[in-house]
Amino acid sequence: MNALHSSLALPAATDGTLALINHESILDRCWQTIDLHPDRLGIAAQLIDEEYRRSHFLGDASALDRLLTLSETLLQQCAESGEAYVLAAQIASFVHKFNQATQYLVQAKNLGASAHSLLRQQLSIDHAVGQNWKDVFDMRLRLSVQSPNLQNLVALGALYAEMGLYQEAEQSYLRAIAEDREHSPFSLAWACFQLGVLFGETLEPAQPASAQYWYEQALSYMPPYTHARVHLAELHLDAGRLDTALNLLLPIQGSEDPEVSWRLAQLYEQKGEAHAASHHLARTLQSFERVLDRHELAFADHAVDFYLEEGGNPEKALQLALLNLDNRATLRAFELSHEAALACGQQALAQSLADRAALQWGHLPAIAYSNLSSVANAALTPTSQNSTISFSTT
Amino acid sequence: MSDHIDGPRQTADPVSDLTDLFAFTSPTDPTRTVLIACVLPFAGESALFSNTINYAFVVRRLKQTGLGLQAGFEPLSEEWRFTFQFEVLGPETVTGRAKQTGHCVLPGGATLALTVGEENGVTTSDGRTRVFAGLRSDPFFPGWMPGQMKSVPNYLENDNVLSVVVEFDTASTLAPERGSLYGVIAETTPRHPNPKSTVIPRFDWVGRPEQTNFIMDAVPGGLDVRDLWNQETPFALNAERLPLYRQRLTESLQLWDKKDQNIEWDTAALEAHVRVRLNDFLTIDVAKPMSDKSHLEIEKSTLEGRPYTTGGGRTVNANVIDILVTWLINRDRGAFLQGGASQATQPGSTTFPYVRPGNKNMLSVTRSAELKATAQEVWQVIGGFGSLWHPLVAQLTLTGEGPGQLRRIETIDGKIMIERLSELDEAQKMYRYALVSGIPANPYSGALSVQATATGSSVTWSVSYRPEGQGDLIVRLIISSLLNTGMAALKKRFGAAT
Repeated sequence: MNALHSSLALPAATDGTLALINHESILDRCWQTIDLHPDRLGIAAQLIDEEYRRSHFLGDASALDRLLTLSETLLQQCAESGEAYVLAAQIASFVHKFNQATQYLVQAKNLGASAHSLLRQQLSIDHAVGQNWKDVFDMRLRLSVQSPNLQNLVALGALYAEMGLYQEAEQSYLRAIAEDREHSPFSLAWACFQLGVLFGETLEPAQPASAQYWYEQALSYMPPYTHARVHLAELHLDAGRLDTALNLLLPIQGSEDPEVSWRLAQLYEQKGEAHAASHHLARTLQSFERVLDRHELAFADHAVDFYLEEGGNPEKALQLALLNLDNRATLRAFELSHEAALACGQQALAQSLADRAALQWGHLPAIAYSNLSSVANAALTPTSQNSTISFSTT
Repeated sequence: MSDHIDGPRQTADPVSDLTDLFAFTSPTDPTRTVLIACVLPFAGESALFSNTINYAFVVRRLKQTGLGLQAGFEPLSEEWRFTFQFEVLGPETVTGRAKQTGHCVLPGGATLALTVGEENGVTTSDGRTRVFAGLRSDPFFPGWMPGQMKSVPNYLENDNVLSVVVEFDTASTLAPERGSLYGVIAETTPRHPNPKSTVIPRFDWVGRPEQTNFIMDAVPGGLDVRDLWNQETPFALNAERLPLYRQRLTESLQLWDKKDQNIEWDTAALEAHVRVRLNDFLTIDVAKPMSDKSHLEIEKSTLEGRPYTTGGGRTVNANVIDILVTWLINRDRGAFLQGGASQATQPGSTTFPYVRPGNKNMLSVTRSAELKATAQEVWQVIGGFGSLWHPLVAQLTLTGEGPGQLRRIETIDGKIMIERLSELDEAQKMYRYALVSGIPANPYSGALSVQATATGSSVTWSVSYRPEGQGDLIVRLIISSLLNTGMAALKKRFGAAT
């Protein structure tokens, strides 16, 4: 599955530093403008894009705070605008408040928002929460044919990966890169990062060399890309290349992203530097508490892993995992909840979660790669509307 | 918005998004031609060009192929191309951040090195060509919301863009003795296209203003064809897609024509108009005079079956939106449709580089008061632009009505301020205004609004400004005093909600 990348000439993109300077200049300017003209929805849409970039690429959790402020302003100042409610739904989705996002879309529709923007946002919500899978799959496939741009192809690749169709996922990501028309280092870095995750975390067994290659490509496009640095550092940690991992993490150690300090804690632990490890572990705990306090749903799934491991609080992990599951019943959410339930010694709950997962997701190839497949009592046969999903990629 | 964000793809890397193109004879030297293109809508003060994008002007000689119902322009093959390319930033120096450098490849292949932001630009040794690149105040000023044809103030007020400017000696560069009519476009293309890629190597291009946003995208429910259009090769659209574009233009121009309930464009005239618009470039005749009023005159005269009399083109201060919508809606047979914007944040200058420096970040002062009275009760007192409620105001007189209305304020210590109403929204209980004179700040805009709350109402008064002629401390003191005194007076009058 990893032979293709060697023959792919990676497209040129605007230098990451220049793009970051422009991103910050636009962000600054747009906030100034929206303060003066809170009804300029075009500026608000641009701000949402830029703040999302900030959150995703730079691990800046305060971007989510600013987006929520923007959402409040939009709904106050443009209460009669359907498009304002679509933007509010987009922001609610970013912080994983999917129920609220859905309510905003209903209001947006009542206020006459365009069918196109409603459809795009609903698709994004359905995909994130794992509902209406057949429709989501059909729509993602259709979009990738109608508009085979990087955004649509990466989104389709992510869906394939969640379904367990890894070959298709890889092909979709590679096509996204090969057919890029935008020269945005943000977009290309994102596509490369997704490939890194596919090879490093989704595939069983993982292919760390391929994952490393793609994380490095992501960083060549966007050097400060926090998530890519953290994931790549994790690969190096696993391989015992501690100095390489440290060099990746030191430039971003000021990041608010709790995973940065978590990885540093693991690194210093491996180095035998207990004091530094303890310091970073305490920082990680504080960071998780801070982001969970502000955006519990957005960070719940990431925090589960931490509390199950160095965080040493399986009860909290289970509480967060169930909260996440209630919010978005994806296969990954079931897996996390199952793991947390087992860690808390709640065998019955764990079994029930595995059975529910099998009922809901048994029709997907992904279940075969899941640790739930061996423990679920329910027959792994589809029982719902999902049974009609077609895996044809033509 | 001229060509700003004209298609979903433009948001991916906005530094490739062309926002405007200008082409005109220099107002101070009629022997020279000026081309200006802008990119990166909403650019901030630190914005820079991409190192992997070509920013190019392309000029082709045109042949007028007919008049009236046969109107048309045929681009000839001879081409002049000015291509700007930029580099990554070098290391920072002790004196500050590194500057971005680049160069312009001139027709014939010579290059002219430049530094981004150098106000005077750089000139070739023979003086023939001068170029500039850097941050500028966005010269575009739209005053209509196209969907509803609602007149609005310039909604790009205070915005910035990155501009590239070329000024050249017309006679020695374009050889106009062989024909003085030209088509001009600007385009952004990959500097290092992947030779194996089947992707069309173009990010964006622009000819006439609003070809994409106001016209191609004006058919409700229609497929968004702007991304497709932006990848076309200028002067040579793909023949297979021509029917698609022709149909879209026809539908759109029909919709525009109907906006005043009168049909000015019959089927044959519409067909000619579509044919002219399918050839999308700024049309200039360098042998004829150009002015702020001459934009589209060549196309309009040609379509009306008469010889054109001006050089057409597009000057920096041309009111292109009002010229365009008037032509589309009433074909210049009715009143000129003046929108809510009559000039850019900083109107263009008559000297190189013609577009003004970028707008600095605005400073702001905001004050709020929670009041016991209802929003309606408070709005009745302060909601009129001419309401005399502020204790520092001794006298107030109004001139005119609606947006644009002026108020002359005489303060109790004898100072005079003049402010212009920008927008009044009774339903939202809000008005915005701009300072004309009286406080050392420019620009200066304010907004006053009242909102209902659980305990009564909340008043918010905010002012955004840039100090001019005085330090910020003094200006901020003046504005803060004004707002503080106003809020204190409202609390005293209506009672402060706790």
